[in-house]
Amino acid sequence: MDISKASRRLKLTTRNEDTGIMKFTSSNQNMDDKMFQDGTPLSPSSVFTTSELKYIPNCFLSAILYCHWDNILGPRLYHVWKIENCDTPPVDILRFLSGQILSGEICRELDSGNIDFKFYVMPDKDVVVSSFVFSAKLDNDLAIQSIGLVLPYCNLHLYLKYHQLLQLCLRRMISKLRILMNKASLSENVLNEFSAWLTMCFEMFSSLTEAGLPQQPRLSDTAFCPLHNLEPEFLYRCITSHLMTFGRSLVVGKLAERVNLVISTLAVFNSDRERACSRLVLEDKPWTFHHDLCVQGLIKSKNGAIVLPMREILCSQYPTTIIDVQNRDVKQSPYSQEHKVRNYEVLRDELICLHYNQIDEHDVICSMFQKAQYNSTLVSNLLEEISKLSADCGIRIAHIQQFIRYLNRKALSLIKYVETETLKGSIPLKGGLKKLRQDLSLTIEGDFRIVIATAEKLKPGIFQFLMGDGKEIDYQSHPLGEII
Amino acid sequence: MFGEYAQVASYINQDGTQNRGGERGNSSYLPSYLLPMYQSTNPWQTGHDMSHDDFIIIAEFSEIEGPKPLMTIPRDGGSEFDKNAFSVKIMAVDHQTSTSGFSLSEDTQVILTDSGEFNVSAFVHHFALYDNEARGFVRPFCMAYVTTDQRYFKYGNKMVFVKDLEQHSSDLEYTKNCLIVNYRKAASDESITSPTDDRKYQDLNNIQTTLEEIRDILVILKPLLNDKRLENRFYTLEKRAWHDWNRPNKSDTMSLQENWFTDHTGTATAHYGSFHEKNENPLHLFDREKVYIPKLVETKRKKKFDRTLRSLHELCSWGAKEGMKKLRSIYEHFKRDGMILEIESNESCLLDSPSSVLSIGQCVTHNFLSNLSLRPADCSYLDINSKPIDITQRWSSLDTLESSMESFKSVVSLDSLRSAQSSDSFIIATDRFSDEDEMSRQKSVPRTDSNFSISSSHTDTDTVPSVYESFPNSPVKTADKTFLPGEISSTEDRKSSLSDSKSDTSKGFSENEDSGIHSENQNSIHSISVEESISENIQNNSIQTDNIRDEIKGSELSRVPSTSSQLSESSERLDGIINIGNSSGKIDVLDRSLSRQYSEPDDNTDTTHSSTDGIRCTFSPLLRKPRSGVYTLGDLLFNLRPGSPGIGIIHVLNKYSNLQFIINSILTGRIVLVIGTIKEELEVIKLVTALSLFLPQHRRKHNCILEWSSKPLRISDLSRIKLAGVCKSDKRSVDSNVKKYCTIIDVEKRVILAPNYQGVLINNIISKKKCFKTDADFIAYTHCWLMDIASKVFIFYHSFCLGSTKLLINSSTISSYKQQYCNSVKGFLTKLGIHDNDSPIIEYLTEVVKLIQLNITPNEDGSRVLPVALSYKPCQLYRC
Repeated sequence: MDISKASRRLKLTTRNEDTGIMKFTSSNQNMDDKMFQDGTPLSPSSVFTTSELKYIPNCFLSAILYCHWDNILGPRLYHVWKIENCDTPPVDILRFLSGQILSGEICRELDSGNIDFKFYVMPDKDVVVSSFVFSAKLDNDLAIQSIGLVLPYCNLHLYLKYHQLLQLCLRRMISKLRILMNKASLSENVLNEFSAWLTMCFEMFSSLTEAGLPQQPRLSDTAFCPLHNLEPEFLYRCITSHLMTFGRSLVVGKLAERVNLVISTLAVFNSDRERACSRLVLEDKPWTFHHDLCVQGLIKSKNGAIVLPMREILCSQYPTTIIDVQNRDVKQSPYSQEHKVRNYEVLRDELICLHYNQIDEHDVICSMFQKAQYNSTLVSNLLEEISKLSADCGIRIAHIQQFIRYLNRKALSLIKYVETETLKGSIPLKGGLKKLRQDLSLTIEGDFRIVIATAEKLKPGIFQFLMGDGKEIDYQSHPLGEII
Repeated sequence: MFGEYAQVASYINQDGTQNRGGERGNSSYLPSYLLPMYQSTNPWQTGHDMSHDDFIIIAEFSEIEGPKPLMTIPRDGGSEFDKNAFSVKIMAVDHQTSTSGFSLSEDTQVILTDSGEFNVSAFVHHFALYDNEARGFVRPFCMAYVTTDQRYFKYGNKMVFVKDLEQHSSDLEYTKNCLIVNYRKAASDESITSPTDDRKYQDLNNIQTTLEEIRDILVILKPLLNDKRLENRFYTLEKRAWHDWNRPNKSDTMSLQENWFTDHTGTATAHYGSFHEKNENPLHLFDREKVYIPKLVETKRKKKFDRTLRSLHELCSWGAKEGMKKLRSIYEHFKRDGMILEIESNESCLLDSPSSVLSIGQCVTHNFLSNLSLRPADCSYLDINSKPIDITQRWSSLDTLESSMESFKSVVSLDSLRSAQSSDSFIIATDRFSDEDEMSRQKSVPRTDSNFSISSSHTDTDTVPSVYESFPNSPVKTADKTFLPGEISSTEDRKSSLSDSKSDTSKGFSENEDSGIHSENQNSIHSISVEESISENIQNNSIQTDNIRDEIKGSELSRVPSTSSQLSESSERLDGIINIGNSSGKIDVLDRSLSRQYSEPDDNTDTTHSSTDGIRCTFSPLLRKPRSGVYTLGDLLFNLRPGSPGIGIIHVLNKYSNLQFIINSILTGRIVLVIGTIKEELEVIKLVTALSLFLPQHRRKHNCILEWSSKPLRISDLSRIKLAGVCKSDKRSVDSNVKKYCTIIDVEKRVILAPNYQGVLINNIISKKKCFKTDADFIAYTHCWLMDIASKVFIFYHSFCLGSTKLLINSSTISSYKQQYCNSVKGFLTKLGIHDNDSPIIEYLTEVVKLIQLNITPNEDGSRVLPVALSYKPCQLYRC
């Protein structure tokens, strides 16, 4: 699998090269692995280990820190991952950063499962640090620990685009790291394993620069350009489902060109930030599916078979539309409420399996993906309108962007309506969903789902409030309800 | 299924643990804290104890007490929040790099989440101020924006910029302060040192080192004191403060310590005032400084740290005031719902090119040119087979140039339209920006006169065609000559075209029995031909053809002249005719300047993706001030207050019936008057406020809305007013002349006098009046609805008006041409799914956008084109 492949590539190569004060006394010594555990009489706090992450072509990081709060010595830098071909900031800066990250955390509750986030911008030191503070076991005792991603100041803007995605990735990885640390006290193996995950994660980020979408969508890339032809009916289904699943889609197909056409088309409906977290497929680079990328693709093998990464799909924050370009097939992973439950279960099971060293073979059944057949006048009208507009000068793209703003206004109107009707959630919706849909002219199922997905992004939780808990009846009366 | 999985896994594991005997014992169970919690998010976070509002806290690392909170914005912000503990947490670490000697360190920004004790997220900005009495000359401060909403993170970065500015101002001001004090000290040191010889060597040594240190600091500081903009700002502030100070009871109650500051304004001003003027030369300044008296410096410089250091305001002088202002505006901006912020950032890009913003009810609805690339290079797919000729066939930057110029031409053409007449009138008023201003009014009077023109045609038929005609690929039409503006026509061509059009005109006249009109037309043709001889460029050519054509059309459209009104206005018209030559010449100049403006960016086109049009601005996305009164929806909804457009709309809709006629009038540009007796003033104002929700393009309130007027309206008022409340006196409340062109809703009698409306669009929104309980909900929904309409308008604008509708006019008469045009508009709109009766709305909104494009570049003399359509439509009486 990928993990083993990556870990083979990676070795803890340099050790004790950067040991701060130690450097002067021991630079000529050939230190062995035990060195850092025993410490030295001189300054045990300043010893840390380093390793290097390799094969990441375009990495926006300059280093990754792992530090913890030492009960005697305070903030202590423990391990540094350098990035191949990237300049690591000087040691004193790294040490300073570890102090910063852990500052003010001494009163933290140790047994809380939260992973807190801190973000530092230090222009005078030319660094931006994005760090995660958590508690995990260290030497038979719980300790405050943190992972800090150090990047040069110039990459701040790039980082902000990736922020959401990075959060999700690292939180998942850190949850797993905590399990490993719980099993064994910090050892080389744990760090090696974590290094492998880091490598995979940042390979993915690197691929975003390599095969990302242009910031400003180009009509010529999309199916709205007269040069390309894609059946309008298929396009209609794709877009409807894509908007319903919060703008998350996986496109599979045999020809990279066709897959990319669909990816570019769908990405027009995403926000700028989401578009930055989407990628095209490249023939020669078979990247695997990564959770929480907005629009991505997979290329089928020669014989047309593909294994859908069910588990990873469920790991994503939002449901996903799966589009088979070859068979003109549009499916959806379980819709929001159910997705949320499953997402939680999958993430939890992953941790449990890691803890008990089981390989999770109970793969998720394909049947849980539903064919997406919804009507949406919003989308059909849009497609019709687009066909009336000139294909020049970005008019079509501008019209789609206006459509997205229109959706946002609809969502805002829905939220306002619900806020008034339920006194900001303190009482259940009186008239029920049916009245709401009538009042807001959202009687068509597809329209309603598109708008409510947009609303959920604006106001997280509103979906559950409307479609979840108390509204089970309405939820189950729908075809989706049957598969629960 | 998966709910059971934990048990299954633990069951399986029992074998596993036996196999792995060597492992630690406690690894067999999984502590609960390592597992994620299933969190159901509540969209409104109610029921939590941590439901306080956001606030900003400013804290200082005091030399005596350690971290302590100084002030909060708003003043009582976070009253249930342990600010002391929180400031300890955020100030726990020294953000200064301890390098040797004096150095300026930049600020640090931190975003942190705290899920434990405080359960908040915060954006913290650490900065240091410099104080020569402080330890190491440095006083660390920080400000933190505390919120319970995690989603503010993305905005953190934006805040950085503003805070930077704020801090910078503080910093700068203080460094100045530091500078002056140091110089004084240095000088005083010397003055003391020289006369006394009995100083100990060590003292001298001390002074020497101090001086060196100060010199070092000055070396670092001096190059930083170069922000002229801020200096100016402070200077103006200072002046203002002088004025303010003379007034008693200046109440500045904004926050804790500001009062202190106001008290000392006088001294502060005296102290720093001259400094600003002589900023370049501090030494020189010192000589002139009268307030300062050199005093003996303690040579045993053992610093006392027990005394309280100066407060933030003392430290920063004017910077503090500016900073606090900035902070407050930041607070106002970010305390809003994350959702509102999201919407706002989404929509704010619509404001980017102000030339094409369509706004309704003070809320931006659409921008017809935003994100469009108007350059041929960007025209995506045609690039492959593009030939030079194609450029004229696409609508590209060239074409927009044309179109906007054509908009001007429509004015020209309308000028010449004055030869036509009927009882319906058409006024073009070239007005000054501020028509309230007497001076400018006087100036503009003659022009206004000259621009009065009357035609039988309605607005839409006259002005919309001019948009349409502007397109190079739709042939600019004279009877048998077609001009493509890109094409360079020879003088012969022009001459022939002129003669063509002349013959055409005479053809038109032959159908016209009125000889007066004939002579007028001759006159105007004459003026045009004079202009023709002057003009060399192609655009002019098209103007002339346009002129002539429109004239023809005008005379054509004027059917049987109704003599009475005609006579009364003919003198006016004659006045106008004299001006034709001049005015068209002037507009010609304007056209050229406009074309220059537009073509300039085109000359260096080759860079793609640069800007959409010449006007597009780049500005920071934060704290966007509403541009000339246009807000984004988020902004609007958050700031709803009595008097905002649309307030009371639910009440009004439920109280009065048949309001669709009124809304129809508003959306088609017909003037709406709400009349009532003096007793009903409040009711009338309420109605006007509510109905202004639907009023397109009113930017400043006073411009086209009149909430209550006790004087009867005159016809000249109608040029600017779109919606007005009028007092109904005993006599006739509304002049019958005025009445003809207005839709009237009478609050007292409860009747509506309005043109009939049978469309569906407006009924759609009216039918929702029972569905929404609050105005805000309804306003939000209405703006959705308006946006939907606007997207239709967008399509109409781009595809029909600017687009490829190649209307080949081969019909000989103008009336059939008009018929053909109207039919094609109808046909197009029907295809868009617009009902016949709704099409005037679409056409009017298109017209509105055209007019803004026209006005966004004011003429050289600052005047604006303000065409007013007063069209007579048969009205009916309805009960309401």
